[in-house]
Amino acid sequence: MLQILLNGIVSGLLVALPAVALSLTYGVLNFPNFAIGSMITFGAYIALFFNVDIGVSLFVAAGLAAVGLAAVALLIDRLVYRPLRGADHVTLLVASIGVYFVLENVVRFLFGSDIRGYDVTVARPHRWMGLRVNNEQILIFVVAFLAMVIVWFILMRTPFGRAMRAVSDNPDLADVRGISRNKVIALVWVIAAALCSTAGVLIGMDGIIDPLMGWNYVLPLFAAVILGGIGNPLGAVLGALIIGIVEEMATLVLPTTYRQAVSFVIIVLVLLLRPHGLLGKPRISR
Amino acid sequence: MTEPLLKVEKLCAGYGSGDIVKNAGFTVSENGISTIVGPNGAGKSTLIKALVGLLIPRSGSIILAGKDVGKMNAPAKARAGLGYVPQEHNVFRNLSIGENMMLAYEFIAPDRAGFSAARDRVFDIFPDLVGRESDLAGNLSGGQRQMLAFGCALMPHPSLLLLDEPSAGLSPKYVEGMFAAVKAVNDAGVCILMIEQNVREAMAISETAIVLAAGEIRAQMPAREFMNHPDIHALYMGAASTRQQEGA
Repeated sequence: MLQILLNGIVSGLLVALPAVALSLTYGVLNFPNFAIGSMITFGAYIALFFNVDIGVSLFVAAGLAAVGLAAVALLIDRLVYRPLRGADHVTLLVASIGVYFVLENVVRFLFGSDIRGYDVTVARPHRWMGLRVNNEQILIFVVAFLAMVIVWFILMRTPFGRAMRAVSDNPDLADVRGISRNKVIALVWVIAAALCSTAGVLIGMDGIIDPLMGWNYVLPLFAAVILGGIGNPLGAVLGALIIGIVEEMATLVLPTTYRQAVSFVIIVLVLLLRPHGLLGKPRISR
Repeated sequence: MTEPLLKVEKLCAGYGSGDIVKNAGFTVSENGISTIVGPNGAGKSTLIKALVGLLIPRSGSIILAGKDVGKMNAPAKARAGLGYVPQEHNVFRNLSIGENMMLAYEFIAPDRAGFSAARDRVFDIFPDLVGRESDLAGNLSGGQRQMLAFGCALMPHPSLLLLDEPSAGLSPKYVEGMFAAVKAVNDAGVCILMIEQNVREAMAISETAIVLAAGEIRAQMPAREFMNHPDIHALYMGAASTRQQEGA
């Protein structure tokens, strides 16, 4: 039971990183970025390229992946989302679905469709009070926690974080406050890319790397963000942890193939019972 | 005579195909309160949006303190010294009062050191805001929210403050307080240009009246003269410009 809880928290943290990214981009750009799944995949593959093909350590490769994915995200924003700025969110959602397919297929074109893995030595799991904990899980825990603290700090304690929340709250007013919307959007993409590529590397370390790895996270991600309250990064973290734990728990009673269905059920229940999510104050909009 | 603080010339602006504001030209001299009046649909909101840069004018020029800011976007105009209080949605509702004030300052005014002085100045004019920095701005009442919006616009020491119907949506007992606040801000040395529907109350504190009708500036005259004008109706409805021509 405790083992399941632990596994659930770890997989929840893996969902939490991109869930925060999704929540931030939703808040500032006002559309659900479906391409988040392929951003995870793309980040994982950039790290794979540096780690396996070039031969640098995975730690350095992860940093390079964050930088590389940020550049890709900024390029996509320039080419796709900026011309559509101000379009309604369905248009942007459909555009992001297009971006998803393009990115996934770029990965297939460059790296092939085979299952790959990072160049890391596999260590024996630790045993502690009857629990089995492997190094990857500890790393996921530490990295995800740190990443979330950093994002929280940026968001709540720095001028740029305030600017991000201001644009998310009232873009026109942010304009007349001298806040450059394009700079804020660029910063959001950089943060989102760093979170996604970090998640991609951690997922790849814990499991496998293939072009569909991000796709498998799209549903739980959206479930986490909806559960936590759309556009609320803290809620996204909470939602992700709950999704992770519930999915693991569900394996006690359901065959593992139905795991993804759990996310769906949660989305449906939240939308029926508490449409503004767990941490949703219904946003003040009068 | 000294150069006016704001000089608008041949300004055209609008959405879609037609121009809503047509060839607008007027000046705002330093230190006073100027009020743009006009019937509904005259293009007042479009004019003010064009002035602050939320709508980029199609042609014409906007000279602020000798510098053409016509083609600048809103953030650049804000940094050039143009303050603006929108009619509605004029505070960040999901941020605290303190954060609202901070945001109003930090991206416009270059020196961080001046922040607390600027905040104290705003607190002097709006003592209701003191001690409430951690409250969420969205929980304020309509009148208090208007005060916060006003205070925020003052934070970076704008050289000209634009107000879009400051009394709109306020209960009558707040309207008086609002105009008193406008006067107080002006007395503190900030030049003000506002749009107002409450013509009588607005003119009581204004030096200059600017009449906008059907997208055109019909007249600019001292407020006192405007209130005593024999035929305000004609000014609004457009007969005035022809009569002036006949008289000339």
